[in-house]
Amino acid sequence: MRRMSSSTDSQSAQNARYAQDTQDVQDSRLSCTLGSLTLKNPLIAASGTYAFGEAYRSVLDPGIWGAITLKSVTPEPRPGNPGQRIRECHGGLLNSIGLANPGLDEFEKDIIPLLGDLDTVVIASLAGSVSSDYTKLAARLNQYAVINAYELNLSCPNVREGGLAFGADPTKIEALVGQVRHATSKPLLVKLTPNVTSIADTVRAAEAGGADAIVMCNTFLGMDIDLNTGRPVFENTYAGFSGPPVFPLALRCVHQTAAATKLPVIGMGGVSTLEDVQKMILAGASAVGLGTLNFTRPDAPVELCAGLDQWVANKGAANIQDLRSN
Amino acid sequence: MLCGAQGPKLYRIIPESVDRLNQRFYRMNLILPEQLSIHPGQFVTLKSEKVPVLLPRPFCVHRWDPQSRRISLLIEARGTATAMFCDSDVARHPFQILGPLGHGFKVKPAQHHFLVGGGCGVAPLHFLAAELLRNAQQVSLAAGFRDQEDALAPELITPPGTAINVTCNPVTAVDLFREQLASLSVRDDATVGVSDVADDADPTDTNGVMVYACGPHVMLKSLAAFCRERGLPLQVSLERMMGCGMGACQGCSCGTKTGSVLLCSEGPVLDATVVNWDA
Repeated sequence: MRRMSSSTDSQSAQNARYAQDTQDVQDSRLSCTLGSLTLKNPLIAASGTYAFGEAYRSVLDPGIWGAITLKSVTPEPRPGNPGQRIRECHGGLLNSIGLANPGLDEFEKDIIPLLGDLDTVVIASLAGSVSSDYTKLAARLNQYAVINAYELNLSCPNVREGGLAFGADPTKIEALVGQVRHATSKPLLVKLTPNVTSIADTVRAAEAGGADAIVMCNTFLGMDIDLNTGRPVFENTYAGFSGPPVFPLALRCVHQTAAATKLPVIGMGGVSTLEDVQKMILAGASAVGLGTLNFTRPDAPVELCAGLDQWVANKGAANIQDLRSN
Repeated sequence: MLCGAQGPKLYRIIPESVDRLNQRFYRMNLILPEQLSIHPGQFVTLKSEKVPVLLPRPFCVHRWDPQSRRISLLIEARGTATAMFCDSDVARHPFQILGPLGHGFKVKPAQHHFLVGGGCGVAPLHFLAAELLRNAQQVSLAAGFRDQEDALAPELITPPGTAINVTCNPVTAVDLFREQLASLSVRDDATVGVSDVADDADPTDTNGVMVYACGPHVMLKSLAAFCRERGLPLQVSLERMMGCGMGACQGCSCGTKTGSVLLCSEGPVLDATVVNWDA
């Protein structure tokens, strides 16, 4: 089983261990690759639903995941949005958290030392208001071998000044990804929004900027209104919608993404059953993110891994990637 | 690959029973598969595959018997989820139960403990009263309900040994508490109203009184104002819409005078003096 190294290990020891672990992982029929990353299975905890990897440790060994994406970090601490932050709605979940996080300094001091125990691939999610925020984060975190890849959050719908402002404009996406590409050699996963007219345009822009994989997709922009006050429920008016009702929408986005690029795609959005995971892979996803499901059934990866393994066996395939459509 | 690390546990259990208490309230009893350390004021979340809602719903632990491992939850059937949880057909199937979650009441020795509950906010007070009585403490409860039909019988709210008053208005539970407090203060009992508390009690508890409350915001706000005026230490159990219950989603933030806190992992019980009551 792939074991992640602690931040204090020497680089050569880490490399040797990585080579052996990678060999072990590749022997598994659920293993998958995202550029230079090798995952023991295609299940990835989605950013913002798994805190910094420790939240569910008493109910699920984090080592079961193919990878865990940490909560987005910004250069400065963010308290998050005031007022109501979540609301269950039409079988899904509206959220307006607002990138609440402790900021880069505290992330380095308090979070990074804990990441070596997660026993899985660790993806740091980077977020900001201007492009220099992303390059600053990448440059500072390059030194930590426990962070195996970066996810660029270009699609948070819940902050006014950033996120979506980058994520809806192909020109800005290409420029920003290009700048971060120059700042790091770690694999770059670019998380895009579904709230655009042309998925293919933003995907190709991320690819042109130097992305190693596309994460499709972030939440769908939604809202709710309080009938008693006549006003929007959330102080930011709009909020990100996730959970089972968005699955068909996300599946379409993933299918369009896979058609637009040869880069590996991490499909996510409303995935809540084994069948959903299978459909994401059939739509072209190399790996599948689980988000809201972590809130409702935090031990779901146990059953999903077993189900996927059985699926691959029943299909007579050597590896789950053989079942992916291209 | 379920994990043995310290912290909340996740089980899928068919309830032992669901008792109908009155027109609106039910008590669900579940036998946990193992001994857990659970404190008054902590909560669990419940989810049923048979109930078409997304998020698990939080419930304060109403009763907990470590010997039998029986945990009891007080459920007020007021929405789709809570009404269906109490349906006998649903309750024949396993529930996902996650807990114990959050931080409960800080129980310290005092001359007298006052519990104030409104509606389903009385739920954690039975467990709290039992814990206090086990430690030979003096306990009074003031409970308020929406109307006479809603009002739970006293023996359902607190264990024997509690001085209890019930009213049919959650807000007037605060008035009941004030009357209880006044009757105690005017007693010819020199030990009440003076500093005579155990060594490990909070030194600010100079009058030997502790107040704990759970209920509607308007009730808690009124009680907090009264306690602040009188210098009485008050712990309140607060409620917010919750997602994960474990600090991961950050959905249940609550503004305090020292910044926002997550009620699931840093609450749900807070010292009333830190809460921004007007936020």
